[in-house]
Amino acid sequence: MIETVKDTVRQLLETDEIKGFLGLAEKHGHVAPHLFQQGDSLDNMVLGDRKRPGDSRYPLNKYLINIHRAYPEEVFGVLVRGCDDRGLQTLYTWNQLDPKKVVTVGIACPQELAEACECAEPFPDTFVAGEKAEPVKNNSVAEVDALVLSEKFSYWMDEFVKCIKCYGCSNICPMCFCNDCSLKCDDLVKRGELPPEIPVFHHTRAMHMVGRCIDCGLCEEACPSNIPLRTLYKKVNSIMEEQFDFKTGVQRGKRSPLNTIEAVEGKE
Amino acid sequence: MLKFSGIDENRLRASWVSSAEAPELVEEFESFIKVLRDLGPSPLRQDYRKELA
Repeated sequence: MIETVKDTVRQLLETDEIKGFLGLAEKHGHVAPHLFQQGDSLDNMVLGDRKRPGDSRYPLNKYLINIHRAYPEEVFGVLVRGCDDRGLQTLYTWNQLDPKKVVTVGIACPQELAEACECAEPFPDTFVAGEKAEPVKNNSVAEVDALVLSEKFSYWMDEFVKCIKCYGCSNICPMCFCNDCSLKCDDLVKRGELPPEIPVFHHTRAMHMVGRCIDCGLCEEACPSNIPLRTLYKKVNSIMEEQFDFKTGVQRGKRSPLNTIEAVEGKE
Repeated sequence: MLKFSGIDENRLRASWVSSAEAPELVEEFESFIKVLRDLGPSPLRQDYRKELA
């Protein structure tokens, strides 16, 4: 799989179609994002599978935004899995990235990774390597929904109380691009106390994930307190789907219904 | 989301009242207060964090 990706990238770089390729590289046993440029060796390029598929996942879209801001005229390539692709589509609708300046090199995730990520679409729209895995259904939302109201409350509060306000969830989230974060605003979330005000902190984040969360699971992976953040955001996504028929990142080009104001003529 | 997090949805009311409709606004408040009284103290009242100390 890696060889096909390397060949594709080599060709893109040699034909000058992209200025650089944002992928992953393994150096001294660690996997980290790396911008491969023309003339660079692609020897240490990896796909983030050191011991298990996808054990080194990074929100490459996030770094791509920074690179794009620094070099807005250049075209860059980026490694995308299913989740990254959803992320890119959403970032386009939020005007954070220009689709004309991005070339994707897609890979489909193996079934093992799709299961671990509970991914509904473990492959991007177009991919050069890998085979389409079966979408995986998620049960965590249903499990919480099955609890009684007071049980739901204690379930969530017991989880939220572990929060150490590391901002890991928003730091790693590929969709968190705001320079002025509400979670860092003293007026909204009081500073100087741990855990932060709950459930305010996590619900604020959940509300901001409306129309943005692409269900990549990096937040839950990053959380040092193992808070089931993804379940919360999956619920938010399911509400969006039910009420607005909106699936973030899947319907290409469709903007979030909360991001659109439509004037409807002749309607009361 | 409130229900999902274990907070009774009836604790949140969103209603649109014109500033010219003062009696309706009062009615809105009074009925909401009644609902809230019947629901009892909100689970958010106590500081959950101190419970564990």
